[in-house]
Amino acid sequence: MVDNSLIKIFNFVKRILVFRPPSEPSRFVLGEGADDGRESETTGDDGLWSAVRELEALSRFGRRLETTMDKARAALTTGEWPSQDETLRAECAALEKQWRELRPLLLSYDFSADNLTERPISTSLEENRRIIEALYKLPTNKDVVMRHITLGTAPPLRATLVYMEGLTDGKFITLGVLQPLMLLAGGRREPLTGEMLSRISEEILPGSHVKMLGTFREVQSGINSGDTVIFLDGAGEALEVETKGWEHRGVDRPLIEQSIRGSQVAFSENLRVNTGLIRSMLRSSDLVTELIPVGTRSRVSCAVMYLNSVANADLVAEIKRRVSKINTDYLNDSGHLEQFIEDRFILPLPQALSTERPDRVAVHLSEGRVGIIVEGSPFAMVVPANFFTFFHSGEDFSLKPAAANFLRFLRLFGTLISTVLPGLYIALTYFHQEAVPTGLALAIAAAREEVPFPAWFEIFMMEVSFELIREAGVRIPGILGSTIGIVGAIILGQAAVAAQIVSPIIVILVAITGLASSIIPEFRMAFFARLSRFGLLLVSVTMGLVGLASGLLVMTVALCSMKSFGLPYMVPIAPRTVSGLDVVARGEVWRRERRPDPLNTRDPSRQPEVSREWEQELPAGEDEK
Amino acid sequence: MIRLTALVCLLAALLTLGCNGSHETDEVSFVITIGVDAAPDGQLNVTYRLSKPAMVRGEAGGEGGGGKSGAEPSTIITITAPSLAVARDLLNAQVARVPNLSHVKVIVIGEELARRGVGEVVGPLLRFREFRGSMFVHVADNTTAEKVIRTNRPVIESLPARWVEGMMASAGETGYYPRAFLHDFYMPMKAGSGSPYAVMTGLSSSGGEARPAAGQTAGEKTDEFLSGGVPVRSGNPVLLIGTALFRGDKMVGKLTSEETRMFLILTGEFRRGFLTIQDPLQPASVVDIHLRLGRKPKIAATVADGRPVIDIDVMLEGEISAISSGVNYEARAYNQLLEEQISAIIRQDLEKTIRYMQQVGSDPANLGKYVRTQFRTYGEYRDFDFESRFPSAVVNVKVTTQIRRTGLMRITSPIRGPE
Repeated sequence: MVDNSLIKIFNFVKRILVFRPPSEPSRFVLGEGADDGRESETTGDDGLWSAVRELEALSRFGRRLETTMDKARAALTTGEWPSQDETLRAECAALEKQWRELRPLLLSYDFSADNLTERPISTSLEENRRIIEALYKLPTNKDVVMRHITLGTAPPLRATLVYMEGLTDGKFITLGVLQPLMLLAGGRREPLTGEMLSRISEEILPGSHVKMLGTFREVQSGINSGDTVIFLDGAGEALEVETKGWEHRGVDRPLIEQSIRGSQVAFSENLRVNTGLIRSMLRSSDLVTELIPVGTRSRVSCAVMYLNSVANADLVAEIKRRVSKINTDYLNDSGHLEQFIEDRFILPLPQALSTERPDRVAVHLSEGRVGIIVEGSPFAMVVPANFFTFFHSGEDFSLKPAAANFLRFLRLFGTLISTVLPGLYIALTYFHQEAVPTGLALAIAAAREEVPFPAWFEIFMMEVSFELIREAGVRIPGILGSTIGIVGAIILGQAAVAAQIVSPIIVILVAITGLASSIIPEFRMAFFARLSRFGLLLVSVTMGLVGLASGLLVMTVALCSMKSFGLPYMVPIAPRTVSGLDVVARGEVWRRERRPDPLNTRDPSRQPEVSREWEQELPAGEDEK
Repeated sequence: MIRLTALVCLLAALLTLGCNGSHETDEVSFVITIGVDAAPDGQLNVTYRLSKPAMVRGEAGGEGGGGKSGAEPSTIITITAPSLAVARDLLNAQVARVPNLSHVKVIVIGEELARRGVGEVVGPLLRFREFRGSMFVHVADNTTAEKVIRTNRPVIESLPARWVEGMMASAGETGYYPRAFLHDFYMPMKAGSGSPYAVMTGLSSSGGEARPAAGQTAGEKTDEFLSGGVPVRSGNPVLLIGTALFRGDKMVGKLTSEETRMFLILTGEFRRGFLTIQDPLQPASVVDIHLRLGRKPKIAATVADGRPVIDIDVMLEGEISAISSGVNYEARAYNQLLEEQISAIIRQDLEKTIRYMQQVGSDPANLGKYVRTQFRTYGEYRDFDFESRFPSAVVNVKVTTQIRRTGLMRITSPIRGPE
């Protein structure tokens, strides 16, 4: 082709106009993958691989036998027999033990795929190392540390320490495990016997928690929770020494449930610190803490705490049953656990009290409830809970009854307002204009005169924007927090009204509603109020006060039919029981003689009739007369 | 499955029920006042006062809105129709919104119609659900309801509805007009005793000159007025004063301001009011007493020779509010003089008022209620026919007065000045 200017211009225009896919490096696509799906793991060449593993184990045994025999022959020929007698004897015993493990039937079971966890600890240190390497994907995984040492016993004993970097206290491992093993054990002229392990744990290791492990399941849970596991050559068991020591947040002031009076301490993420906080507030030998591990992939400890002499035994048993019968792979929060163990119900109401305050947990434990703490979660759960518990705050009993009751009524009133107000407004202005005072009716009509939308849409719009602001306020990074305030105030308060998109009355209404729902101490209960508000708004728009009343009726019925861990939700209103002077209003502290009746505690009596015993006596200084 | 059924039921309920009855506030027009007058051929002139919400907002000082300050917050429409219901429909032909009658504060009845009989008007008022029993009933004194409504210009209140509410709420301050609800108006029409009554409203036409409706009782210094004679010069020409008396559904008489007080004393609804009397010792001066009822009047009735005998025992309490002569009425010896003077005046007024009621044959204070106790069955009472015997009833009135307080002064000090 002739490369004249015409062609050049044509090519230039063509380059501009014609689409050409941009050249870019080939992109990563997350595909289904060839080896995905579980079927390929269990079928196919699995039998072959396990056979290979069996053969490998057998050949390793053969090599070990060969070296031992070589050693024995050398000793016999050189005449060092008496000095090496004990060593060789021990070696032979170890070989014998290992041979017993390698019987064909056990072998085929142990070496089948993915059964490493269930395997018993081998007498061969080599085998144990290989299993640990397989379990923790060593050496790719850099978190698990395997430390090979030789104990200075006679004969020298090989050992392997396994621990998790980051979860353990390195100083303690050095001083409390390695040092005694390597130095203190030295010089002991003892043969390797079956009791070696128990003697080490009894005489050498100074750690506070030392225990014997039999299977790799236990070994894993020990390593994963920050303990150090020691394997000794020739022993069919392992030693676990507690070396926990990971970084965690210290005990802090409550952030969510602040109070003016009452204790100022909150749970943190460390389970044992949390249980300790409760125990420090409820110093009773009756207080039982049971640890139940949950989760197949990550064993998370859940502490179930109760006062043994008070809590109903059935309640405790049921909660333990539910917690231990959870089959899931991973659990990370107490709210997560709650959904696994609560009764199923149509209304999204909280069934367990969730609190970050140890003092609240202690109070409830003393009443006969059960506390559940999940490792890593700074919130404890208290069950069973009833509807009214969620309107109490931690400091209610630190204040005088008059003040506490005023606050409690205010909270219930706020709840009522926040659920009902928008629906009520719509019902009144749509269907029952005669129920509004004339002045107000005219004011509402006047405010709405220029607004182009129906009233229900105004409310809906404002409620949704309020929810948006609220959610944005939670999600926005703290540095940008003030943006939300400005945008919210201007959009909701000023611009919407000035633009006559909504009437000012609606703004007041939504603001009051939002404010009122914030008065509820329990966030999840407030959330329920927020949700039900929309439902009630819907029925009010369509059916007026009848709809609103029906909605409330349905809600009441649903609430009354609900149960939280066996306790009727609306107790002690429905069914009617003795309230123990702590439902909506609370009574004087010295008049609360009995524990809440519906909990059916083992010891229903809290204090005698006369708890202010000093009133029965003469004042100090008058008894001499 | 159950959930699905419930959901379907709920949706069906939401879609089929309700909704039809709902009105946005900008779809309705609130009627504040209704006036009913007699028109030729048995027709009615119905006057509506409709509020204009946009103007209300303008009046309230809101910026932006379509309201111009100074604009009328309401509009008045008069329609001639054979009945209230037809009038409402004709109203809808003119106004682009649904008339909402649930906020009607007052129904004003023209005197002509009231004298002709209001039965045909009251019936639908009580039957139709938008009208409420708590509406007030006014009768236009010597004029038409339309004129009263069109002339009414509340001086202080921006909303006419507020004016009506305020007037009725403050009725107890003077006792010059009763609080007459539609419900109270209707009940005596069907009950065995008592007569309907209504507040009289009218235009002040005297141009500031006092034209008392009746002469003063001996010893009293307060004039009695009907609306036409009240000496007010400016402000709202529409006044509420006096009571319209009915017999059955027909208006038969008018009580003046002072007589209305007596009527309220009889019913026990008199709350408080000033009474100006002649000074018993220095007749040229006056004494002001702030009066209230000491207790509900004790009324007992017997029947003698076919005539009802009614004994009324009224007890009044007073507080001295002015002594122009400076006589020491605070002292026990003198205040007895005052008490006797007050008792005498009130007794005369009561007797005069009851005599007038007997004359026109209307019993708004429901004295017949006390006569009922003399009969064993309602049938006997009905046969006795109290209404026809009321004019010939013997009424004995006893009034006692107690001066309880002397105001904030214990004694009148003479005013110093050049002798």
